[in-house]
Amino acid sequence: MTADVRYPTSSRTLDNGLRVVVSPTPGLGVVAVNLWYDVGSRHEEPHRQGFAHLFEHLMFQGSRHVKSGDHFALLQGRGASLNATTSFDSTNYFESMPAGVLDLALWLEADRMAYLDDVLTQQNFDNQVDVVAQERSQRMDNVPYGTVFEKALPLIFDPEHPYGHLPIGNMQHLADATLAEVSAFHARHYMPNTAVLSIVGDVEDSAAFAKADMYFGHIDSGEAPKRELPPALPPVGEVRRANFVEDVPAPAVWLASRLPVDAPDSRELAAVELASSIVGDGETSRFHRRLVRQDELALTAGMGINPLIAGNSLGLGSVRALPDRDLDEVVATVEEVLETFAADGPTEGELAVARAQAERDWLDDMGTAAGRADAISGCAMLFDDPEALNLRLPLLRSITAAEVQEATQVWLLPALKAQVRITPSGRARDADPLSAAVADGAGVS
Amino acid sequence: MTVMEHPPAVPPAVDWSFPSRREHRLDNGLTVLVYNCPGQFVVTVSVLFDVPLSGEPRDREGVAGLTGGCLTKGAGGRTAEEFADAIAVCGADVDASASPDGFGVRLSVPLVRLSEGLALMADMVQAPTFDEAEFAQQKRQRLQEIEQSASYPQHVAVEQLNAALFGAARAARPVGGAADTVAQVERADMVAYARQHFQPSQATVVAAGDFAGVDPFEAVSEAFAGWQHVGGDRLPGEAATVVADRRVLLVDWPEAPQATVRVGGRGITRNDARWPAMFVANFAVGGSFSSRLNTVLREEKGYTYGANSGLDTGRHGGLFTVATAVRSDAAAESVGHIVSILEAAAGTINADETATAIRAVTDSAALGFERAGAVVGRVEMLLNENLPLDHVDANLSRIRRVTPESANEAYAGVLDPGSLIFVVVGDAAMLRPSLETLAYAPVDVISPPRR
Repeated sequence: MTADVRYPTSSRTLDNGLRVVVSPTPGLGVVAVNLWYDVGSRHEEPHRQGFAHLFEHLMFQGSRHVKSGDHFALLQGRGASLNATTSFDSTNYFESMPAGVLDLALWLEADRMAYLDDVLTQQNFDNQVDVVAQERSQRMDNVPYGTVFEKALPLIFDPEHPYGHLPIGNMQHLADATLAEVSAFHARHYMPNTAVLSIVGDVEDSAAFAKADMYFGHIDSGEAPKRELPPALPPVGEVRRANFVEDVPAPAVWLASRLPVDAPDSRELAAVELASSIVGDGETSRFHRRLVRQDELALTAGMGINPLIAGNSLGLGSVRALPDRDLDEVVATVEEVLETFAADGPTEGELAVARAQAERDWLDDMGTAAGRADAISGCAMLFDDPEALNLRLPLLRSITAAEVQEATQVWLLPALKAQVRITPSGRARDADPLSAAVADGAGVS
Repeated sequence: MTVMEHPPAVPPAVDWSFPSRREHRLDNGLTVLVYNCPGQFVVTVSVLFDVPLSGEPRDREGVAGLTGGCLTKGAGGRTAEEFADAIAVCGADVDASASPDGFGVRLSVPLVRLSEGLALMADMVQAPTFDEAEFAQQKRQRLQEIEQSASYPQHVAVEQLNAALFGAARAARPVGGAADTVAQVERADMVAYARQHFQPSQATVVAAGDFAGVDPFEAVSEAFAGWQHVGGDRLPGEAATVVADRRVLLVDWPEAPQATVRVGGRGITRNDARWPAMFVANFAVGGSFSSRLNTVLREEKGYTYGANSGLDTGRHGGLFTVATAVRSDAAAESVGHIVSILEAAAGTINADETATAIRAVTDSAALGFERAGAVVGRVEMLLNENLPLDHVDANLSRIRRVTPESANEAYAGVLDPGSLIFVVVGDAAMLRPSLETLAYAPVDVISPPRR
């Protein structure tokens, strides 16, 4: 439906193993840098959950030639936007800025890749442990339903699985960590040959490669950890429930599922994505029409997926019920919706809508240099193919109704097996005796 | 290879201008503004009505928001579900909502489906169905959202702050109405609201995107030319004046894991001559990651994930705000730091901070308006606040001329750190003694109805 849009790239690998990918947009005035390291929460030791993310914070606390706080101050003072994120599979550092600020950004990134631990103090370290604890409170603990993702993971992955815990991690583990572990983590995971550097926007190929070499070329390569990925797990086969009673305004249920592993040419995952969109994305979705509109059981209902590379991706459906509704009735209706969809497959209209929305989302994501740099880094790091982003539109257009139906039967229906239910504490006494019985813990059964 | 020990020099940023505007007026009085944004293949179009929220009947507040919700629930002979399908299959997204100074209908759609998207958008404003059952469902959902929002400390903090700041003015009350007024709204109120306000002569269409191969004026004209003026006249707005003085409101949230803090005080509008200088001063004090507030509360003390200050503006008034969420046992100390940082800033905004703020703001403009949606959003703001359409460039050149002296003068003239309202949502039993000891102002404890 959309005129063909492609983003060409060129790639070089520096002598030290740093992969550099460039995608110019002449005349844009803006350039984006995305430095993606092959380390995420799945690489953490079991007693240090959250360390990769804490480490990401410490990368802003200065390096050999950069004072603490200067990374933000120097770049923001030149009109840049910058940040970093840590996820299950990766940690990436990114900045977008006027084209003339590119050298500064590369110099800053190179300095902390090469010499982070020269300047880090116990005080900086303790400070960021505190900041991360407040980040967790603000995002999760002080928000109704805010910890549900953490509650859902154990239903689909064992604790020792790479995705058995969230990137935000365990605050006690972080409080127990030491400064020495920071140096060790940097030495183990941060080096040119565990990173991809994308430079996208108003810069020419040759100039971008020359700058990458100038700022990163002197950094020694290291011994990169071997990428070890667990085997794919089948969908959850038996019923797994976790019930909680909390200070929330209304009962709600989440459905967690193991999904096919991410790959740019995975027809199976693309079919799951389209199926999930038809079931749970927006006002045209089956969940919304049945649960919110027709039966008025829920205030919101949706389903989303998180593409990942270690054996499985993961999916999460959610239904926020109206306060006086019975969760058993809600779940029975969800079951009926999913079973009907699995039995009948999508209509032509539904498939067209799901494709159109996925295409629009992709075009939207690619609408900034930062968005393109992130996609290019991810494709290069995870799939060793920086141009894999250009496979997405043709892939989406080629998925058939039969593939969507099969994906629903194989991967989405089992989501009913793994359920997290949260009911309001104010109502627990009279409404849901089962929930009241497990009120004091992570009642995973 | 040698290692560079100092940061490389940065050349002066290339001059940037807001995307140039093309303007056209249709025979029915509709103004059309078009901005070409190369590479933006998802186009954004907004129809903005010049209607103040204070025009809602006092006992029916929320009618504007409900009207917004119902505009997407059927139009042009399509039922709600047919309409949603028609939008979605274009890869489009629409929404309609009321804000204090205007009512906006927004469309984003891939360029190749622009005509279809515009036709649907035109149906929304010219021929909404306003089905009775859809209205009733919207109203039930809105009442449910209001009830559930009482469980979110961040939401409660802002509602309490506005109520304390603005006295009897519309700005004191929730944009979407409160439970008691939403409950009063009937379908007929919504029909009357739309009939009075949705007039082509009171509307502006703003479109931005990469229009290669498409004439956006022709596309807009085709969709909207048949729209006729039928209803009432423009309403004047209402001043949003801060009437409150120095106060600490402690909203009791037993066992809250964190204290949520929102602060408000008198600010200025964007057409105030002091605006550029005040903007620079705020950037230094709390408007950036490296600001004084964030440096102390996050990077030195570790009390919070972030603390910032801002300048909220509207057509009829402005507000200075501070927002943070802090470790509960450090709440009173954090409030104390906020007050002392704001006090200490008077007369001390220095040359470095001024130069940094000016560069940060002027040099980031290209980045801030990379997306078509951001361009339309800014033009909506200009229209809402009744500012000239060349305001973005003119404001940037005024910001370039700000000096430490003018920043300090504006800050001292605008902000009175001694007359702020602090709302703290947290465990009152734990926080009250230390907040009282701090003695910024008497502490009033509120126990909100909470689900």
